Amino acid sequence: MAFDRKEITSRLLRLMHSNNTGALIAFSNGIATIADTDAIWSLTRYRAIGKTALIIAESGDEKLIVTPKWDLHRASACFDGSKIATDDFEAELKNELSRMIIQGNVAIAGKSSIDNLTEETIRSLAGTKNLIDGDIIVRELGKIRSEDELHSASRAAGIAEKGYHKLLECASTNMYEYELAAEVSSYMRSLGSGDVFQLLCASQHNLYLHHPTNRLLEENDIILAELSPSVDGIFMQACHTVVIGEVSAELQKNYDLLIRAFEDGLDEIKLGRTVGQVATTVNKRIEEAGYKEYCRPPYTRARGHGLGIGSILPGDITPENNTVLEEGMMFVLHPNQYLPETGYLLCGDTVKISGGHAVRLSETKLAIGSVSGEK
Amino acid sequence: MQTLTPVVMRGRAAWDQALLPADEFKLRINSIQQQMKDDQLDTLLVFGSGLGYADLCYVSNYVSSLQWGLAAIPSSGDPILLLGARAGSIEFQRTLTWIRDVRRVSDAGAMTKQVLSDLGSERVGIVGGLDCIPSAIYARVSTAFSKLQTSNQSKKIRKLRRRKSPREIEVIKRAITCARTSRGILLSHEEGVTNYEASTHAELSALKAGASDIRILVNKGDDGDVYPAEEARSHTKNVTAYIGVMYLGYWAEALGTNAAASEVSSLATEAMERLIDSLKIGVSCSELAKIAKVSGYASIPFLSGSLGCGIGLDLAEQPTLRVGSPEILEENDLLSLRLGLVDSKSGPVIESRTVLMGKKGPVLL
Repeated sequence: MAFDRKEITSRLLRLMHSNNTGALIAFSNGIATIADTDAIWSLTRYRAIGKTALIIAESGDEKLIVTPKWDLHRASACFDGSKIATDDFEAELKNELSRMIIQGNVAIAGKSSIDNLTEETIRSLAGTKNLIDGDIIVRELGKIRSEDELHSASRAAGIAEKGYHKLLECASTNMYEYELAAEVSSYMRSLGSGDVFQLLCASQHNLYLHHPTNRLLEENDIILAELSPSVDGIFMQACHTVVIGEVSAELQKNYDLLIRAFEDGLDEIKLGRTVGQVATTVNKRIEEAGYKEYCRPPYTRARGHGLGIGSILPGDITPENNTVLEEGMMFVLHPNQYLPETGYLLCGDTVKISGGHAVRLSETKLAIGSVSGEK
Repeated sequence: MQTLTPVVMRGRAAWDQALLPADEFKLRINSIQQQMKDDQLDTLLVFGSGLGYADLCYVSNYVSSLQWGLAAIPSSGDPILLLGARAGSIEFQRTLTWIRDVRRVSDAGAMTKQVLSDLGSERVGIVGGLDCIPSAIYARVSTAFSKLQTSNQSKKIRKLRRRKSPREIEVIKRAITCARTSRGILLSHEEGVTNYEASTHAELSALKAGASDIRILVNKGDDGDVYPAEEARSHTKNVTAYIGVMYLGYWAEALGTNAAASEVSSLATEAMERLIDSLKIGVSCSELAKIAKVSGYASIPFLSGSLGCGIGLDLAEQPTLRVGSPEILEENDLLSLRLGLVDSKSGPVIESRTVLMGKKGPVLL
């Protein structure tokens, strides 16, 4: 089913009513992160450039406040309700909050992007009303991915696979990390990816994944590439490891371990099981191979995560996460791991829960890549 | 210029010590510490995050995009950098800053309190607290100084940032080269290539040249409305383009259209020359905006009635050149000038320049 704003708003109003919430203020300042839910995008599919608020009262009264003023045409294409474009966000927010009749609590969504100035404006106008966490509501609304979201994610997965092949085609000695990163990300953009989240680096023994630097690629380098293209705002993520030169027996052995851990995790993803069970299963395989101490920070943080801009649920794939898996959820499963013999390795793919079990979005078999250094 | 902010910087992340060596930052810290003594401040806390990195980068070279950060500058001695980075990445973050004492934050309030105590702080200045850090994080950090005497020092640091050093100009020149090359690529594509494809070629050029990030706005049709390049997918006829390029944290802009020469394009060029001829230290920015006004033509909506502003670590710094602006030009201001007109027949035209306010007058970069 395609995104239906009226249906989302209707569900939102029901949730607000059951939580004694008189109004929800969704906020974005245009600073997007794949690590969190963008409340404005989630409720409207409008990706903000500047400070933007959507105020929805329990009565159904709603108003979208857009900055900068000139971006009204983009907002209008996504939001058919009442809206105003302005270059004075705080003044307009004050006007609207004063105008609307709000009873009960006020929920704020988009807290991770709210600056102090905006929060002070909201607090001063909310008066004695309780300010409550609206992010919980918005994340809950989007945790089950719609058919159009899953379709976009599949298209993004196709782009990521082509991006990976571009990496294999381009990677060579005597090129800088950032040049390789540029080739891959720009290629994925040319294939129709909107925004791209990409971390790419290389070393003979990687300690962690990071942004591309000035480092010149060398023979026997291990390239780490986390490729996350997006289509219509929906991100997917694929994690790859590529060697310049031959894959040593030790590296192959370690990478096979990560593939088995990924497959174990995949098998564990079933309706009714928890995210924590999936993470524990992935860890078990790696711990039993003798790497227990490397299954926690600073070596490893999580075995995957939800993909933001939309709902970040089911959250980080960690043993402590008790979120119950449901049909239609989507997240990246990645047993990315530092191993003392070979360094940090990336291995993972985005999965959706369909038909009660996990389905990978990529068609490419998980394997360590290998390229010749000279091109 | 505001544009869609991507989820991550897609380009190079490195501290280039040849262009911006540690002594460049040491000199900045010396100036700040002198000001702190004048203001009787014990410690200055400079915040940065995805909401705004410029102040923090000015004192540390650290571009806070995915992580938030906080530099604690004592009135004498070296600063301490606290980063909300993941445990596994802190070693990499250390390579991006000249500050030697970099600490990963686990408990923001407790760690800040400890640092303030170690520095013997009673009077604390805050930079970027209102606008450069999410309120949820600030609430945790501010428990450390809730009982101390605090003052907002953002304006003073931003005034220091306004004066560009020769090294900063050198970095910005590289950003300008990237931006202009990308603009040339974007505007020179032949019909049949979509604006979207042309944008990706322009991006590739800048990123391969070592840019840290690139932002593009481009039109879909002939109405003057522009869209982030992530979304624009139309033909390349009558392209209106905005390019912003970040190089080692510093921004430069290039704007343009591929409209054929016309009466309105000549008027825009003349107005830009008039504006540049009028740039003098001490001149009112509001008056400058009036001098460059061209009657009879609408301005381009996304320029928001402005003729430009200062540029540097922020895409929009002081001063702003618009009617009503209270600011005046100062020596070493670096200005990104933009002048656009819409003609109902020939479409929009845009002129853009980057100008350094030298002692003897404006210097075109």
